[in-house]
Amino acid sequence: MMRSRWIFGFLAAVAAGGCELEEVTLVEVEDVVIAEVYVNLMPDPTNNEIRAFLHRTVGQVDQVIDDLDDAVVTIRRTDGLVFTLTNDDIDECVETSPEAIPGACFEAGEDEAQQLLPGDILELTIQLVDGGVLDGVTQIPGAFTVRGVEGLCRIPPDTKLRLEWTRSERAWAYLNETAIRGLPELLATEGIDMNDDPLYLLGLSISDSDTTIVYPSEFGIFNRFDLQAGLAARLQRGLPNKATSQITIRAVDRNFFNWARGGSFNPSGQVRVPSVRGDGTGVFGSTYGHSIQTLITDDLMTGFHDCGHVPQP
Amino acid sequence: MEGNLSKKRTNRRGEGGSLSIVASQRGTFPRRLSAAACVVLPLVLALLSPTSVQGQLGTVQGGVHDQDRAGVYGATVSLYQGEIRRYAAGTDRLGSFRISEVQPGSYQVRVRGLGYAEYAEIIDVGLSATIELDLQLEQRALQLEGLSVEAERSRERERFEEIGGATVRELNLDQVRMIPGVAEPDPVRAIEVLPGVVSTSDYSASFHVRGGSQDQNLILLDGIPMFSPFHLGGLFSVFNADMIDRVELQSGGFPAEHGGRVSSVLDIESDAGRGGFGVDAAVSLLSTRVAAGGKVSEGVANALGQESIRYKVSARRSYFDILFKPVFDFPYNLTDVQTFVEGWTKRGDRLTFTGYTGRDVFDLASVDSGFPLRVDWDWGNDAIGFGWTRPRRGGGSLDVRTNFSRFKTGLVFPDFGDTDFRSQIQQAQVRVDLDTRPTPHWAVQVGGAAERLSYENSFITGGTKFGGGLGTGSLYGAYAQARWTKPRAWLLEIGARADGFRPGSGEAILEVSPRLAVKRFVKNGDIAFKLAAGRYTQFIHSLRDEELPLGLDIWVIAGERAPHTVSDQIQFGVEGYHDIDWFWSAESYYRKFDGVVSLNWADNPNDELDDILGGRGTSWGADFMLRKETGDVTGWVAVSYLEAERTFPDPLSPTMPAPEITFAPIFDRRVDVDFVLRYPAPFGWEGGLRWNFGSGIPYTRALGSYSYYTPRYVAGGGLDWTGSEDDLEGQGGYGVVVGDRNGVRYPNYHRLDASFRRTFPKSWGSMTPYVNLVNAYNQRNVLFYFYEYNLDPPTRSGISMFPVLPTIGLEISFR
Repeated sequence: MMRSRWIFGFLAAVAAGGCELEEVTLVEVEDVVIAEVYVNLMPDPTNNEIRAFLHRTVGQVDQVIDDLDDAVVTIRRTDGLVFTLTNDDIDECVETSPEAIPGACFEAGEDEAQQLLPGDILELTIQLVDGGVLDGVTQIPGAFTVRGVEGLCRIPPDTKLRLEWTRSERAWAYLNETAIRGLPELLATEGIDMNDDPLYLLGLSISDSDTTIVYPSEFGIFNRFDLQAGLAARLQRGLPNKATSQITIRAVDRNFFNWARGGSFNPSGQVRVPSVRGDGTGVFGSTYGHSIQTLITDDLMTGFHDCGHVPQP
Repeated sequence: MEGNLSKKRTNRRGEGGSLSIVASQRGTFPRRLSAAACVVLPLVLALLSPTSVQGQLGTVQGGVHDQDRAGVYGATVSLYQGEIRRYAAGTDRLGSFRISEVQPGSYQVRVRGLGYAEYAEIIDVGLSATIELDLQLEQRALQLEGLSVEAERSRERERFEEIGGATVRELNLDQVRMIPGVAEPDPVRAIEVLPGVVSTSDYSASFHVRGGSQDQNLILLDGIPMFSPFHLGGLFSVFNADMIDRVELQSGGFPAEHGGRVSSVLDIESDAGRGGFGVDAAVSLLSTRVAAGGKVSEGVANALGQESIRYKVSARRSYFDILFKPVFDFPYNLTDVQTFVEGWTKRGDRLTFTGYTGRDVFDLASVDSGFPLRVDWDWGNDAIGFGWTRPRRGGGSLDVRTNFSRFKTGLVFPDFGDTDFRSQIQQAQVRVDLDTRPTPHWAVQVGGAAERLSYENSFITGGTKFGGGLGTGSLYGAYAQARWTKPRAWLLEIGARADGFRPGSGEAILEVSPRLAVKRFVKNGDIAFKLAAGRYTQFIHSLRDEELPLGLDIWVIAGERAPHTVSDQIQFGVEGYHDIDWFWSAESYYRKFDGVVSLNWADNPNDELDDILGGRGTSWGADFMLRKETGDVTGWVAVSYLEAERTFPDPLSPTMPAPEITFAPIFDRRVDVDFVLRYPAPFGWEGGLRWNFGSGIPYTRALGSYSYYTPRYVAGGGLDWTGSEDDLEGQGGYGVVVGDRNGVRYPNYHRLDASFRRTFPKSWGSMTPYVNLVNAYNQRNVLFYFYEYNLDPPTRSGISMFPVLPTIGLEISFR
């Protein structure tokens, strides 16, 4: 994503020196099925989930989209255990979408997903209505623990928290996310005008051995071009008093990482490195992660323990 | 005329006899040849057979210098009988010349050099005599019509007769200035008009030669390798035309003395001027520049052990940031400073010093740009080099050089101390070359170089290392090459180069690269068939994504992370002169590249060594050139045909291990035509014209696009569309499914450029206004297509390269 921002920034600069070409209407639109299948594990197995979202390249008629609901999505563990995902409401897979009917959603039952373990090797098969088949393989990253932080904890205002965790076997990266609530009101007094509440920020630790990140300053590296003026710089100091946040740290496998980071340059849009092959493309990724709730306060009487090792500001 | 002469002459007899002895000793050699060696038997016989006659022929050799003892480069030394020119030779960089196989008799020696008064004297050449001449020319302000043409022609002709394998094309400063371009003359942009050279974009001055990548071109400034010598992200080269004497491109078959790159050698030579103080100033739409040159006082020169010391120093700066300052902050500027100093000793030694430093600064940190992020990005080159050359009697020289070159770039976000984006490559080199001419027929050159390379790349932000690496390497190269000539009949070059590379990590590499070239002259030496073959090696790569028309090189050196490149090449051609007017050439070639590299988009972050993919490639094609060299109208037509392929593991493949794909690289421009004309325009103006046609270059077509979602695990979770409402009509928020890599091609490219210059002589010097008109008929050449399938109906739009672009400039010379 970061690379794409640079590239599109560059394209804007080049466009300033060139001229727009006359638009030509395209009559051919390639119909390609995109499968985005994720296996997500948590320390508490009841929170495990397997979700598959099937969609197509844009510009297809609704009938073709509907066909995806009838696809058969199965995942087979190497010991022979088979998970057959059932068609579910699209909201179970997709939070936001530009399309009214974005695709088809499939989910494994909660009881089934509980049987998954870190390190499992899984094979995906998607049978389409027209006879097409997509397949892929993933291995779930190993379990890890976050040091000194569990559940709900406190971070002093304007303080940076160094998060550390143990290494996850086979992880290609750690996807670190946060959703911070209350910032528009809290930062208005500092002259920072912003709208997003919660504010989502993404951090990244690349390779299985990069097991630290500083919160919140090292989150939002992909948003530094987008954030309201001064906000990104403000977050380098920490969060304001009374903000709350959720942080997730999630070890991701090769497939997840490749799909997320994108491939070679193409001016028409982001090219992604797929892990699903056959009569379509997409990702069959797996993750293992932790979730932390934080309260930003200087009140020591809240009853929450301090999050990890908190250095003095 | 003879009053202009200050000469020393020696007449050494009998030297030619030594050749007879050597030849007779070798007389039994053919009997021991194996059957395989019979291939070269005709050449050996040709070498031996004429000795009885040639042993009695004479040689006229020596040096031509000016009143400051500076060697006169490119002068023509001719031997006349009556008004018939019997023999001719050009002088080299040191002013040396040699005319061999001269029939005994009386001749008038005439020497003509551009900017000098003609010199003449009578000499007698005896049997087996070697006449040594030490000639001094006097400078003359006025240049005779036609003399420059003769000087140029002499150099080209000499190259035609003396170079066997290499395909060498030269542009002098006048030609560089007359080739239309954007804003101001650019010696690197100018070589795009030569056969075999492909440029993929108006926005980039980087070039590809005969199917080689842009990082496979060795760009030398006075012998100093320059990395990424471009301003404005590649739009212009860093070389200031006011400092340049000539630009020479060796597009293939280059001899063993050159190592380090596999595709071409671009040699840019600086000019220290003729010694008179002068200032050249110019303003273009890009920059203002000034160059001052002259010579230091005789006392200072003598104190430094020199007979004379000449210098030229130039500075250039863009001015938009200053010009627009009252209105708005323009965040970009470029600056470069270049100097060249040339000293000549009494015995004709040449000492040189070259210095260059340049910076591009893109500073959004200190200006009020409205950009949401404060950014300070700079990049540039630094180079310094010293050279000492001692001429050898009868031609040849001892050349010792040492130099240092560096390219670095850094990107700073002042608000984010966690960011470290930088890239640097540097090279220190010492090299020695000895060029000897043991007999009139043989030239032997040996040499060696030691280089120390290092690079460091860092892409760290937010506490995460996204990429990078560092490494060092030592490169030791040695070569020997010999050239045997039978004037206007045969030319044979044979040589070998050994390169030993020891990377900081990884195994040492030894590559031996043989080179062979044969040239057969026919039609009294006016036409020549040539064949050259050789192996070339390279231990350095740029990881720049060549699909991006603008961008900076990220350099790495071979080692554990990247392979080295080995290229085997063969070329065959025919070239010749028709009368004195026309030069023509046709050459075909085949090249094989092992160890080319590409970024691995799917590298494993847990593996430090897999972020660069090694691959291979081939290219073959043919280049044609027809050049008119004399008359009021001069110019050339160059036609190039190229087919290139690259094969790499496919990083976009979902399967492991990734299967290989073979594709045409972006510079696979099948047909490239350049038509260049220099002509007298009305009202005393001089016109330049360039028309370029290029068949479409390949690109990877987007076959469809899909909504781009990313999983979110906080605040509920689920797939989030990455776009916004604004993106519904744009490309943000959509990924693309692509077809075969570079499976389709853009439309043909063509463009007409024109330039007009006129020099107005003034009592204090001259003033030259010029006008450049790029893309005169406003052809919309495609830079990119955007396939937007999310629109209803889906469309293909895009952006073009340069529209019609008139630029003006003014050059002023104070003398």
